[in-house]
Amino acid sequence: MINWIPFLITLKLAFITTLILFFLSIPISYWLTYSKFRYKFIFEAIVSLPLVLPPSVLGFYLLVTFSSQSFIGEFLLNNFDVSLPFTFPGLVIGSIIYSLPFMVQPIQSGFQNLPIALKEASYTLGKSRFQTLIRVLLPNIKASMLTGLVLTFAHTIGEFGVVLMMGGNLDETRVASIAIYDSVNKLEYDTAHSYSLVLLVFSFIILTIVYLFNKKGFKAVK
Amino acid sequence: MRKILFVLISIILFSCGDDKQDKVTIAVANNMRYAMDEIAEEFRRTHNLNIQISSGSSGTLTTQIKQGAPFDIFISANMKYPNVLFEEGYAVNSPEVYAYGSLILWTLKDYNLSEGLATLMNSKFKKIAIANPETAPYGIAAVEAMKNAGLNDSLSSKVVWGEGVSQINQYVKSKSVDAGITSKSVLYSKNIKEKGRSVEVNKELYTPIKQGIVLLKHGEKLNAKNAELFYKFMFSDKTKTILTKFGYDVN
Repeated sequence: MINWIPFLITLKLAFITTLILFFLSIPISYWLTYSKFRYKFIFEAIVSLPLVLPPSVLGFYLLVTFSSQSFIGEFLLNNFDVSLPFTFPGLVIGSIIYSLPFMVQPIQSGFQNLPIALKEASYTLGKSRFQTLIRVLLPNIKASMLTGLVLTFAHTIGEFGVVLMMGGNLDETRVASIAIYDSVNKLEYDTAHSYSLVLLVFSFIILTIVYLFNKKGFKAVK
Repeated sequence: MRKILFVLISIILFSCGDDKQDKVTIAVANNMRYAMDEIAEEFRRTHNLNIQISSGSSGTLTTQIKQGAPFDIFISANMKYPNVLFEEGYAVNSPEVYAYGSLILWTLKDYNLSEGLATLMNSKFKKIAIANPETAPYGIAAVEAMKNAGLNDSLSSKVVWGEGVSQINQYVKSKSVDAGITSKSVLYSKNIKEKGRSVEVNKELYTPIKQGIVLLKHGEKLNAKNAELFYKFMFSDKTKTILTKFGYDVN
């Protein structure tokens, strides 16, 4: 019988990560699109780093940064009684960083594709920046936002390297991909096969549904 | 739409809250994985306490312990890593030997292994898997045995290095290599249906693989009673019986 808990943990991780990233990425993308700041390109590069870096590098840095041996880790532990490595909240922080470009980039390109006249017209009609963002800009990039949501969700489901470094393979942090790795290590190929199949089918269904309902939106991204 | 989303999120959020029951969290070296499931089951029956097992290579687990992983006890494949943890102040006691591991030469192909390591000279053996001696205790022993058998140079072109015994076992099981040098315990895993052929490596060829256990500061601080109970259990007759069954020497 399959143990479903790793899948629940994976889903929980993907949901929470996507939710937090969504609200985090709108201001970031907005700023990256419209800011006139000279050194903006540096921040664009930083946001895209997780695309290029091997997850093991990311996981290693996160582990070392938040470890109880480090300055930050010690500070969190002494003042807030929080220890991030090998806990679920630690995985959430890791996933947020790991999936950041997958949310920011689609939303940013959504903003960039909007005609500037749209924003200017709204300002002319006396709307504030915030109102313009909520009422005018965002409703016009629904497809890009959906792309960001789906990509982030899917990317977090497939996360492995960061969790392997930061998660410690405990009950609380054993996501599906780690459970598969673990059962291969234990030579339990039957379990590994069923886990993998569930993950494959699940990912396929999610993507199929999204492509089905959003043909137009995805064309824009390509 | 919003309602559905809300319900979905709530389900996910509350579906797997961690239950704060009594348990002992142990870090286990890969080669002990097969025996440990049975030991944990026996412990559960005797003391009505759960065991949470996190397995990995001894080196990886040591790194994680240094970074503050919440393990109560570390069950290693050697003495070196638990010693380091003790010297650097992560462990309560200096490591004790709970078992001696044995090396085997193992294949799932139809090859005769009766001559031991020397068989590997045969040109039929094109790829031989050995654990990386930099990180894996069973790799150190395997390299030492090959050296003492005078085979090191003639075999070096055939060797495929794996991360640890668990990877060697995967290579052999999937028949990606012709043979592997690994821990004897794999033969007693319930997941191995096809045992193939194996022969024990002559024990005079390598330094005994002392496997050490330490009680970690984390366990001492937060879970002393249960952790000490399990630590003692690892030296009980029940555990020794299981360890012997899985091919370890316990004396």
